[in-house]
Amino acid sequence: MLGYIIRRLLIMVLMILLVSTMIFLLFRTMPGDPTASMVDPSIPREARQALLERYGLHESLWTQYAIFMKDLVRLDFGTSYFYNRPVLRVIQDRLPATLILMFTAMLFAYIIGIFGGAWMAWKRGTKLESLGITFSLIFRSAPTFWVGLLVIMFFAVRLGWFPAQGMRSTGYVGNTFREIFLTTDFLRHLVLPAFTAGLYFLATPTLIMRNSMLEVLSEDYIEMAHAKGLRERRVLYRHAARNALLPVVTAGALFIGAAIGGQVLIEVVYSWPGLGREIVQAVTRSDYPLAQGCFIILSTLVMVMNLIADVLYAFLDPRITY
Amino acid sequence: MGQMITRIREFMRSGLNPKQGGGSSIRRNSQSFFAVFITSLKSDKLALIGVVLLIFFIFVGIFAEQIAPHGPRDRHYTEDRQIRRLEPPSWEHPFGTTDVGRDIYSQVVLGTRTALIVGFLAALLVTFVGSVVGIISGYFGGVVDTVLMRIVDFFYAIPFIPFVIVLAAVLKPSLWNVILAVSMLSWRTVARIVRSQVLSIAKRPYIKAAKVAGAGHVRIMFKYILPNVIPLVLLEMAFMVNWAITAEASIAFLGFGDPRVTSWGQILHINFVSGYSRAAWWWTIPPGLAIVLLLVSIFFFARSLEAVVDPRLRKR
Amino acid sequence: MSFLDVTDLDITYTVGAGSLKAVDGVSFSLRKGESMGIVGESGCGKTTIAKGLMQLLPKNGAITRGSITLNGRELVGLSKEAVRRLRLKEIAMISQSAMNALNPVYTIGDQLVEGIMAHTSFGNRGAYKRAVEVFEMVGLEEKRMRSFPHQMSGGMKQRAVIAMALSLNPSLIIADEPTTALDVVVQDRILHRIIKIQKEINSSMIFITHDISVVSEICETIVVMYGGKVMEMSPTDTFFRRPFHPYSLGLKNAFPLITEITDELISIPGTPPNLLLELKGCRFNERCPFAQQKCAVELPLFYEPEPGHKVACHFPERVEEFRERSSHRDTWEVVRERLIREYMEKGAVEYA
Repeated sequence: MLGYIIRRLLIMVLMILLVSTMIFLLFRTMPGDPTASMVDPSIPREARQALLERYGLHESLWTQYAIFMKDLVRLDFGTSYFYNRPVLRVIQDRLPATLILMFTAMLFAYIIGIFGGAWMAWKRGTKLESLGITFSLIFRSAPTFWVGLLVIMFFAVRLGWFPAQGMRSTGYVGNTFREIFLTTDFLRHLVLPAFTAGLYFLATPTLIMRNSMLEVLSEDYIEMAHAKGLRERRVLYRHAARNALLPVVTAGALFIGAAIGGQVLIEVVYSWPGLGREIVQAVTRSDYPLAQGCFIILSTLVMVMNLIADVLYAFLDPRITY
Repeated sequence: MGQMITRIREFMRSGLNPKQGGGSSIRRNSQSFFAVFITSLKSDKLALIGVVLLIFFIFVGIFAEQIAPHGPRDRHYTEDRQIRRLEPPSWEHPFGTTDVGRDIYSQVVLGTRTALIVGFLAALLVTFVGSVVGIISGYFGGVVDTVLMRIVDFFYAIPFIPFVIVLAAVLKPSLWNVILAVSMLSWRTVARIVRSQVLSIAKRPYIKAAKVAGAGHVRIMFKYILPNVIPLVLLEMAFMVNWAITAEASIAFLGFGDPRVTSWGQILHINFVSGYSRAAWWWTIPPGLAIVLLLVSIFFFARSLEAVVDPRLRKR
Repeated sequence: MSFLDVTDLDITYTVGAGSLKAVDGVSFSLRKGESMGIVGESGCGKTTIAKGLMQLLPKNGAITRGSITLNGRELVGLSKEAVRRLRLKEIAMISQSAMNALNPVYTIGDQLVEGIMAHTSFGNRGAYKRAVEVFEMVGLEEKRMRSFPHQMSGGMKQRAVIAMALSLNPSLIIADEPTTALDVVVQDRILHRIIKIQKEINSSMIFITHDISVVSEICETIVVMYGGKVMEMSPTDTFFRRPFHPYSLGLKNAFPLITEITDELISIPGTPPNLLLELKGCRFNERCPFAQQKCAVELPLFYEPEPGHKVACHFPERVEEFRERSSHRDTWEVVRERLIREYMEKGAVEYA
C-alpha cells in the first residue's frame, strides 16, 4: 500500500512537470509576438526591453524553459505583474478559501447524494423517486453560474438572508487563519456559494448511488443478509450501501476535474477570493505568471484529489491490492 | 479503471432510463435502428417531449434571423426618444430590455444557433478523435495502448475550465477557438469508453476469424469493429453535445467568448457584469432556462437512443 | 401435528399485468430431525417454496393462500420483526449461490459474528467463539475467519455459508441446491458434511435439488414437484422401489442411481408449462407419454397406494404398465414427435 502511494506520488510529480511544460509552451509559442502577450507592446521601447529582461523574456526559449523548470522545482512561480508580489504568496492567500468552499460543498453534496441515492433506490418506482431523478437532472443541466445568479437574486437580494458576495463583510480585517475563517461572519458568507456548488455536485453522487444501489440490492449477499435475520436498516446501510459506495468514490475522482471548473464559476459569481476567481482575473489582466501558477496548483489539486479517491477506494474494497 | 468508467457512465445515463415495462417487449435484432427508436419514443412520453423540444430548438436555431424581431445590438427607444432601459417583459419585448435598451428576446433566439453550432461541432470533433484513439488503443493493445492511455490519463489530470480559460486567452477569442478548446480536453472520455467496448469486441470469435482469414488491420477496424461501436459512440455524442454547450456558456459567461457572436453565456455575462443580475430577472432567467431546456431535451432524446443501443434495457 | 406443516400453500408472482402461481396448493409435513428432498425441474416452484418458508419472496411475490406452521406456530402473516427473529435462529438457509452469498467487503468472520449477534446476547467475544466452533464443524481453520471471500476457493466459501447456517443450531435447515456450483468431488464431501451435522444437532432439513439421485442418498422423504404442484410424495426407499407418477419415472430415467446406470440416459422431452396461462388438467399432461383426454381437463386428486405414499395421477392402477414402458426410449420419443407436430401446427395456425 505504502509502495503504491509512493509510486503514485512519483507519477504525480512527473505529471505536474508535464502540465507545467504544457502551460509554459502554451504561453510562449502561440502565434504572433510571444512577448506581446507578456508585456504591453504599447510602452516605450527601452522600458519594454528593461521589462523583458527583468522577467527573463529576452532569453531563448530553451533557456527560459530551463529557468522556469528550475524555479518550479523550488516552488518559485515568479512574480505577479499585477500584485507585484511573489505568485506563491498570492496563491497561499487564495488557496484556503478555495479549499474550504470546495470541501464544504462536496461534503454537503456527497452526504445528501449518498443517502438520497440509497433512499431513492429503496423507494424505487414511486412518485418520490421520479421526482428525485427529475430534480437531479435539472440541477445537472442547469449551468452553475446561472443557478448562482438566481440564488443571489432570491436569497440574498429578495430575502436578504445571506450576504451575496465576498468572504467577509467590508471593514472586517482578519489576520490569522482563525480570525478569517472561524467567524460567524465568514460562515454566513459561505452559505450561498457552498449551497450553489453543492447543488452542482449533487447530481453525480445521487444518480450513481441510486443505480449502484439498485444493482447491489439484487445481489445474493443481500438476500443472505436478510436470511441471517439482520434488521432491515442494517442490511440496507451496512451491506448494500457499503458496496454501492464503491462506484460513487471512483466517479467522485473523475468528477473532480469538472468540479474545479464549477468552482471557478461560482467563485466568480460570488466574488469569492479563491484561486478560481484569481485565475480568471489574472488571465484578464494578462498577469501570466500568476495565471500559470494558479493553473499548476489547480492541476495539482485535481491530481491530489484523484490520489485520495484511489486510496480511499483501496481502503473500502478489500479486493483491491496494490 | 476503464471498465469502471464505462460502468459509471452507464449509471449516470440510466438515471434516465425508462421505467420498467414501458410496454416494449423483447424484439428481434433484425428490427432496424430507426424502427426501435420510434417504438421507444411511443412508449416513453418524456423521450417524446425531448425530441419535440429538440426539434423546436433546431428550428429556432436555423431560422433564428427570421424569428428574432430585432438585431441583438439594436437599441430601442420610447416615443419621446428615451432609451428603453431595463423594461420588464411586454408585448413588444417579450423578455424585456437590457440596461442599454436591447431586446433580450432577440438575443436569446440568436443565442440558440450559437449553442447548437458549438454543441454539435464540438461533439462531432470530440467523438471523432475519441473514437479513433479508442479503437486504435483497444484493437492494437500492448505498447500502443499503454502510450495512448497514459496520454488520456494526462488529460484527465487537467482541470477543464481553467485550461479553457487559459487557451481562450492565449488564442484569439472566437467561436472556433472555443470549439477547439472544448474538444482538446473532452476526447479522452470518449476514448476510454470506446476502448473498453473495443476490448470486449476484439475478443469475439468473428474478429479472430477475420484475422485468420487474413483481413488487414484497417479492414477489421472499419468493417468489423466500427459498426459495433457506432451505437455507443452516438450515445456518447449526445452527452458530449450537452457538455460542449455548457462549456461554451461557461466560457462566454466568464467573458472569454467571441464578443461578436451572441450567445446565452454572453447574455448572462453582460447581465452579470452590468450588475443587474440582482434585479432584472427577465434578463437573467430566459437564457439560463433556454440552456436547461435544451440540455434536458437532449438528455431525454439520448435516453430513447439508449433503448436502441442497449438491448438489455428493452427487455427490462 | 408435526414439526413443520405446510398446508394448501399458494405463492403468486405478479408479472406485468398477469399473475403466476409458482406454488399451487402444496401440502407436506416434516417431523423433527427428518430430512426431505424436494425435486423437480427449474421453474417447478421448489426454490419459491424455500423463499416462502424464509419469507424472503421478492417484492412481486406473496403467499396468497394456505398456512405454514412451525412447532405449532403460524408463520404466514407474522410481523416483519417476528420473521426476522425466526431467521437463522429457527430456520436457516444454505443458499443456491454460495459463490455470491458472501459480502465481498467484509471478512467471513465478521459476517458470521454479525449473524450470531443479531439473535443472541453473546458479546462480540462469545459470538466469535461460537463462530470458530462452527468453523471447525465444517472443517475450516480459524484463520479463515479473517479472510475475505475473494481469498477463498468455491468449496471454502460454500463451507463458510454452511457454517453460517448452522451457527445457531437451527431447528430447520433449508438447503437450496447447496452444491450445484461445485465440482463433483467437493460436492459429495460437502453433502455428507451437511447431513452429518444435521443429524448431530437433530434439526429437520428440506433439501432442494433437481437431481433425484442425491435425494436417494441423503433424504428420508421425497416430494416430486412439477409446475407448482406436488406430483408424488413418498418415503425415499419406497419411492425408488415403486415410483408411481409418469413424471417420477421420467426423472428417474434422467438421473439414474449409481446402482442402476445403463448405457444411455433418457430425458423427458418438452419444457415445463407456462404458468401464466390458465391450466386445468394435470400439469404434466403435455409431456406425459401416457396422457389421455381426461388428463388435459381434470386435475388428478391424490391417491395413496400405501401409507405415506401419495400420487397425483388419474391412472394409478396402470402403474405396472407405465413402469415397464417408461424405461424404453421409444415411449418418450413418441412424446417428442407429438410435441414437434403440435408446435408446427400451432405455428401454421398463427401464420395463416
